[in-house]
Amino acid sequence: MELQLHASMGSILRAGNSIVLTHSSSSVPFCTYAMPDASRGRNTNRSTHKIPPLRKGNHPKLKLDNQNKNAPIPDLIALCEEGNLDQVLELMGRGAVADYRVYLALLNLCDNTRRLESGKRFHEFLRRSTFREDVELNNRLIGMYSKCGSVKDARQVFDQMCHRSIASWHLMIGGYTANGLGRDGLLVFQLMKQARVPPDGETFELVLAACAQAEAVEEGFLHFESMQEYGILPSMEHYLEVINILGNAGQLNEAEKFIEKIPIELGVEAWKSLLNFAQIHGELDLEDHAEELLTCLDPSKAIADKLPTPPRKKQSDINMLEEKNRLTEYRYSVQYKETHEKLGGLSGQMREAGYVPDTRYVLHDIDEEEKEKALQYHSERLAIAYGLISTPPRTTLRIIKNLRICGDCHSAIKIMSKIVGRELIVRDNKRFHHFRDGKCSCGDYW
Amino acid sequence: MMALSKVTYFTHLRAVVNPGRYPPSTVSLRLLSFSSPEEAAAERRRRKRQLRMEPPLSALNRNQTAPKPQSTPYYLNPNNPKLPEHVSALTGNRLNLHNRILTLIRENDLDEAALYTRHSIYSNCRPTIFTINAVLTALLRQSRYSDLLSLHRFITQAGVVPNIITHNLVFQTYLDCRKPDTALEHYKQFLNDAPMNPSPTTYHILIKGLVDNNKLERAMEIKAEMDSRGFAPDPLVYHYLMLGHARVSDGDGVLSLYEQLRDSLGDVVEDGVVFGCLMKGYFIKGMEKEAMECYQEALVKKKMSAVGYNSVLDALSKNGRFDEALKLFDRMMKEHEPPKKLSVNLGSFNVIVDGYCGEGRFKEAMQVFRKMGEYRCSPDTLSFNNLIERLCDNGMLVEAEEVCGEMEGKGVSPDEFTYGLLMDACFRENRADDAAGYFRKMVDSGLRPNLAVYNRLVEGLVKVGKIDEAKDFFELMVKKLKMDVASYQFMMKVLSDAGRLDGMIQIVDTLLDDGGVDFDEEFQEFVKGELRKEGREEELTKLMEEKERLKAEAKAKEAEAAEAAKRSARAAVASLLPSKLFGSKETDSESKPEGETQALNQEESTNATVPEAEFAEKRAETEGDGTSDQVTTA
Repeated sequence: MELQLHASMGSILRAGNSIVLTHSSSSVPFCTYAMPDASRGRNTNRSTHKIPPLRKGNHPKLKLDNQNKNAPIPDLIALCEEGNLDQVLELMGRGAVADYRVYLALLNLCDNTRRLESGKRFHEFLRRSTFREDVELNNRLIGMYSKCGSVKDARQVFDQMCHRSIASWHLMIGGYTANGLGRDGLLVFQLMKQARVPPDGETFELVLAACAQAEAVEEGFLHFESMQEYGILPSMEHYLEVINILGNAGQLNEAEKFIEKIPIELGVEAWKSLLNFAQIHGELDLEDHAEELLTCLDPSKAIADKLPTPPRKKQSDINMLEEKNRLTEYRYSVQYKETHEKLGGLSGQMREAGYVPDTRYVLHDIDEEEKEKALQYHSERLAIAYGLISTPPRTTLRIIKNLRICGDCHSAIKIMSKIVGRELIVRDNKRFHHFRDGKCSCGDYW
Repeated sequence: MMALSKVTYFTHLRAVVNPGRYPPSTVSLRLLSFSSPEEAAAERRRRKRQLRMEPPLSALNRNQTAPKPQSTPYYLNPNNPKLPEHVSALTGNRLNLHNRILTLIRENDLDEAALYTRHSIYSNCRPTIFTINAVLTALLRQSRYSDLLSLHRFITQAGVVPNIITHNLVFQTYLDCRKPDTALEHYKQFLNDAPMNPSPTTYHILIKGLVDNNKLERAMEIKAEMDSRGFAPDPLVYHYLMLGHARVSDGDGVLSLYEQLRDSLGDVVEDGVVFGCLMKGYFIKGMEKEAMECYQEALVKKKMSAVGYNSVLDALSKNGRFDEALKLFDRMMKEHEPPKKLSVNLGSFNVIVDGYCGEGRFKEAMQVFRKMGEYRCSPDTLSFNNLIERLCDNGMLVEAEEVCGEMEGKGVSPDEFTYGLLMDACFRENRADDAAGYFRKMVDSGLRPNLAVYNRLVEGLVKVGKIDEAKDFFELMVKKLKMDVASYQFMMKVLSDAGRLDGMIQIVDTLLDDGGVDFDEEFQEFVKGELRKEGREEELTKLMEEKERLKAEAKAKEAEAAEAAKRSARAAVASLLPSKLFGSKETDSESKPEGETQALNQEESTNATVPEAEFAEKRAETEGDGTSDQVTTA
């Protein structure tokens, strides 16, 4: 292992670009941080000699770097293996030259630690190294970025690659999917087809996963069927991905039908995923069916203390029970445009429960609507709204207020307490009000 | 494409600046400055994505009328309908909540499950739409429609975005409640507003529900719509539609549907599900030979599911080929290999039991019925009712009671219909006491018989001279039922005929308190006529005057209380503020009536469902064949 310390380059660069320009006039490669390793057979000591001696004195840091030169040369690989990411990056920042293996090791480290900052720094080093066009390293970089949750950076790396292997495409599609951007993954696949890269089985696995993420059922089936055009026989993984697509989109019946049609033996996995989706979507009967099949295939999967499914009930004719089954018909009107603040959301339900804003308590001379709005922002209501969103269900909220509670708030909170199913204890400057189940302990007299 | 062209640009630049060398750092810095066109490209790509994104159907419609430039991502535009949550939202605390709710559902504590879901909406752990769907599904399984709708209303008001499953559940609910028009209205709204496409299951639900609600035409329209949306022809949908045509004895309709399916599938129909209905179609047209050929073909070549088998079974047994049906049933039971292959289900047993009964072979019917458990089918209330009805109709009351006694052991509880059947049968057998006993049992077990059942009971009791008991039941039920004029008059007439005018006046008393029935001139005349027999007609006027006085008193008291409340409120406000601000009485008087009208509206909406009762009543009578059809296809 050959290691070089390029004294002062780091500091010089920091000082300004002028020096670099002098460099470029000579035949020194621009990239001075990471010198090509021995295998490429370059003389690596050159750069140290080329530092204009004149500048040395001006730079306090140079001394340190010179000292380092004499100090035992740290073994970057060893440091990488120790997992000392920061130290390696620091050393490289000071000009330590890393070879290919170090880059690989570093990438692995960044990958594992999932620290975007280190990753970005590393990317900076890589960009200036001779390996910047290395496909494998770039691929890893894409993987690292998407693992760190920064698909934008990953895409940038991807776009800047001169040569891409199929793995690059895979990583990009997979990266988008992993970050919840299945649609973008599918677009990358589109690009891939345009670039005439022949997709393979793994590509389709990833594409189907992207469809599953995007809940794009039809598109998923199109891709699934197009596999034949490329002469790829769907494997178990593909079938499972299709099940995922259907399951994610909530089409459980279709998923079940699909499983029954699959020509190859899927075994436990398919039913397991169907079971999982049935649980997610709350389909009791399908869940039981899948579980039965599962235990049939693999008896060890049986759950011992499973609760029996409550029986289905079907009323022979519902109207024997007029009152019990009184249907409150209502018009389907979703107010999408409404901001869904807690108070905004609650107000619809409160009005339904019979709440009518009592605008007598608004003393400003504004129109009726404004008055109702003003009532909504009384401090106790804001406090309750905050309390609601920050505590688990059914916990009691205690609110202290140093003014007397207004009549409208009192009735509003009474209704609220019933809707949210909590005890709301509000103290004003006179007394405590315990609101529970739509009633107040003060008996509306305070 | 952008990406590729950008890379070539880069290499070109390098060549210009420094041929044969690594580009100097200035280029590298410029490289960084590329990030803005890069970003622009990303933006363009995103925009492209927007365009290519499976547009919600509604968006398509909207774009036709007014094409809007979409420059912002979908989720950033507040005018776009919100998308439902993705499965990946179900993690951490929300997953814990989901599992907790699932456990509650398994424990059959649906009230708590629904309530906890509601309460969680306003907390730091909002339930996902999946959790809500699980509760809604469980409610639907138990036919708790009103609870389902109220929870659904609650969550939509709270701004939880429903997904396709939620919509499907709502459609299913309305169709199950025999409100197909409401279901269709919702469906229309869904197509217009929701940012998602219907799934094949949506169509299954709609078409099956519409067929069951005798809305065949609408079902055909929905099917046409399904075709126009590019859904693959679905044998199950055709099965439902053919069944609908078969029910109205439209043989040609059945056959043309089958042809349509065969053409669109390329001449071979693999799925055996449609063949039962096809046979029915042939039978209707009197083409027995074709029907049996079709039967043979289905058995040999086609992939049969339980639903498919059942409809074949039904076609055979309803068309005088019960022996053949029994043979098929044997085969089905042999093929039945749960859980891998399910070829028998509850519907098969229902058809066979019904068939045996139709043949008059009641012993065997009961035997088959009892064998159900061996094939892991458990009879539900509907199949019990079916058998009990058949037995009662054929004068086998003892057997019927025996079967009814088995219900509890199977974990099925009798419902109003069961008790009604037994009650009627008992009256027919002159066992009035037992009939009354069944009625009382029904009331005691928390069931709510309707007015018709009550009328039959009272009539029956009076017929055998048990006036006292009839009166007891009247007193029991008058609080629970909305008695109509006829029921009141019947009871009064009975009492007055028996010479018990005091009892009758007592009824007038409760009638006046009731308020649900209009005590109009005609009615008063009737009462007076009865009283006149003993010359006590003035007692009615006396009673009515007395009532009026009491009512007026109560009203005055109420008004006084309201006034007092108002006064105290005003005092409370007045104490808070200087007088001039609280001058206007107008706001006061305006806000009041508003509240009242709202309350009235609510009242109205709850009453709106009452006429529905009559419809169901009719349905209950035809329950016999309705039952088997319904379960067969289930």
